[in-house]
Formats: sequence, structure tokens, C-alpha cells
Amino acid sequence: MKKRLISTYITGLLMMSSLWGVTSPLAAQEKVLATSADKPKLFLYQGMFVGVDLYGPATHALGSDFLSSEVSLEANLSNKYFPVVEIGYGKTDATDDETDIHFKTSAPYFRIGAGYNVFHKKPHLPGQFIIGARYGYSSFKYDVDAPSMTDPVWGGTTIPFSYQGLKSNASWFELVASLKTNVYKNFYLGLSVRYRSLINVKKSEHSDPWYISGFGKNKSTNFGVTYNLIYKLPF
Amino acid sequence: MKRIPAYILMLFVAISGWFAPGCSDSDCPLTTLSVARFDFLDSKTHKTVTLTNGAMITGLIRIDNQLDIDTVFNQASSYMSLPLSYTDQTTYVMHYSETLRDTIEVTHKNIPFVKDIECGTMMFHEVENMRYTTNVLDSVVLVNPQIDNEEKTNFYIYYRTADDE
Repeated sequence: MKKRLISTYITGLLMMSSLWGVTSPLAAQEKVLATSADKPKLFLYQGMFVGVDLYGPATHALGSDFLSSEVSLEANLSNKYFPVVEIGYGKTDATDDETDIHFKTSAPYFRIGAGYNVFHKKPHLPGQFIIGARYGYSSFKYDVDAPSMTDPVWGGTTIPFSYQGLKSNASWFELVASLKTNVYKNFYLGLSVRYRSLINVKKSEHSDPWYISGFGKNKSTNFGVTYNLIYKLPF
Repeated sequence: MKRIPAYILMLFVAISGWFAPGCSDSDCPLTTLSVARFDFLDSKTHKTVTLTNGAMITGLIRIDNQLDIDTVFNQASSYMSLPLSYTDQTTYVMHYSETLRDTIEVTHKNIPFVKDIECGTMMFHEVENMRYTTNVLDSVVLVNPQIDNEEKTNFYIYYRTADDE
């Protein structure tokens, strides 16, 4: 487990270090409605970004029990407001070494929200520093299997533990801080850290879902990271 | 051309390393044992009563037409917390003395449960029915039919005290 944590941490550091000093000379282009010597006036619509998360697949490749991958579609309004939709797919198929309990699920999820560019008054910068919020939702089924249970007091009675296709859904709220920087032509790299708070999760009679696609481990609060390769659409 | 301020990048490196997935403490419950709690009350005043000499409790279940008996609580005085069996019926015998006793028979549904795969399995119970004798006790009331690993009162056992008569 410790090795997994260290490798995850190192992956994060490597990915983030790639943001250092990698900026394109084409950065910070803005669509200008009319230029005057003093005050150029901007269009409301400044472009659309499509991003793919690399962090989820990378951490899974390094041993994480969870595989999560998502695409995002984000609009740039006046280089200030950034409404966004994120659609992804999360899965896990894990067995705990100590308890020998197996949990399996795979399901899509979506998040919708918006961000605010803290640096909107600094258009010379090669990207944005955005703080924002998201609402996330996932509907899913899961399987739980465990060793048979034997009565610890009287003994004698053994009850099997195997439940398939348990239905659940969950919704959550996220606070997001993200950094996006232009690296080459229309390509950007974006890193975001997320504080997630569970709004509700449907429990079954026989178990709480251990993992929620798009949210992570089923806890009241959770943290997440995404590292996106982003393409700015040419329109 | 200017770049994104270094302090912002430094902040991100620090924060996202801290937030890396998997950095979680165990949220396992302190106890995974489910017990039914019986509180002893005065039938008139509904206040807690204490059995003068206490009571020893034996539990018995039937497996394949054979009775299995076990002492499950040694000295119950004002309450008792008793485990239920994995069969659908558990019977408790309260021994007040050599000859004086009451029997409480609880019929229940067993609910295997997993809260977290790192924490193991638990067995919860839901009380469906009960019967009892009234040699010493006055009545038994089901307060909460859900028996799980959270501490709460499930039954009230009412006794007639000398003051009542």
C-alpha cells in the first residue's frame, strides 16, 4: 500500500513539474472586438477547450485500485468565467488483502460547474488560474463478495456473503482550483486539485458502496487530482 | 513573455501531493459486534431498576434439532447486552435464582453487512417477533428492532418492584 502511495505521489510531482516554464509564445491570445490605443473590448465568447484527464489512467497503471478517465468541455467567457461539463467513467475491481472482501463496479459519471479566472486582469499570462465549483452525479451497480460468515458465539451456522448488481447512486459537491498553461499552439496542460463533499449516497441493505465513480472512495469528504491535456478548439 | 507566478506552481505541487488518492486513514468502526441491549425499568415509574442479586443469562439456539446453550451475560443488574445467533431465533433464559427464571424468545432476520472492504463483515439483525414468560418480569417492549454495531437500547424489560405493590 505504501509503495502505491509513493508512486502516486511521484507521478503527481512529475506531471506537475511539466508545467514549470513550459509555455508557448502563442499564449494568451484573446479575441478582440475593436482595438483602441487604451482599452480593447473583448468578445464574451473567447473559445472552447476540450480536455482529457491523464492522471486517473496514470495512477491506475502505477497500482491504484481505481481507474478513472474523463473528458471535459469548458467555455471561456471574457477570459473570466469558465462554465464546464466533465463526463467520465470510473471502475474498480479490488480485493482487500486482509479481509478478502471483493468489490467491483464500473459506471459513468458527470460533473457540471463553473470557474472564475483569478488572473483575468493579467491577459499577458500564458494560461489561467481558475477557482470554481462542481456538482457531480453517478448512478451505478456494484458487486460485493466476502468469505462466508460463521457465528462467533454459538458457531455451527455459516452464512454466505455474495451480492451482485446492487443498485446505488451518489451526488457530490466539489471545490476546484485549477491551473492551465499553454504549451504548444492550441495545446494546454491543466492541473486541478479538488475537495469533494458527498451530498448523498444510496446504501443497500447489505453494504455501503466502497467506491463511487467520479468521487473516489466512499467517505464524507475526499480529495482528487486531475491532470488534463487540453485542446483549444479553433472556433 | 511573462509566466504563471512561481508561487502558484509551488502551491499546487504541495497541495496536490497532499491530496494524492489513497492517502486515507481507516474509517473502520470501533466495534463490529452487534448486540441487543435490554434496559431494566420499573413498570410503574419507567425508571431504571437494579436487580438485587443480578441475573445470569444463558442463550440457547436450535441447530439441526439440537439445542446449543451458552452463557452470554454473567451478572445483569440494570441492563444486559446480548449477542444474537446466526439462526433465525435466539432464546435467552434469565436465571434470577436456582429455581426462578424467565425466558425471552426473539425471532429475527439476519443481515450480513459490509461497510468498507477494509473493515470486514458484520452481522446485523432485525427483530421480527418475540415471546416471553412473566415469572418475575412484567413485560418486554421492543423499542428499536434494528440491532447493529451502534450502541442503542433495543428492548425495555419492565419489572414490578416492591414499591408498586
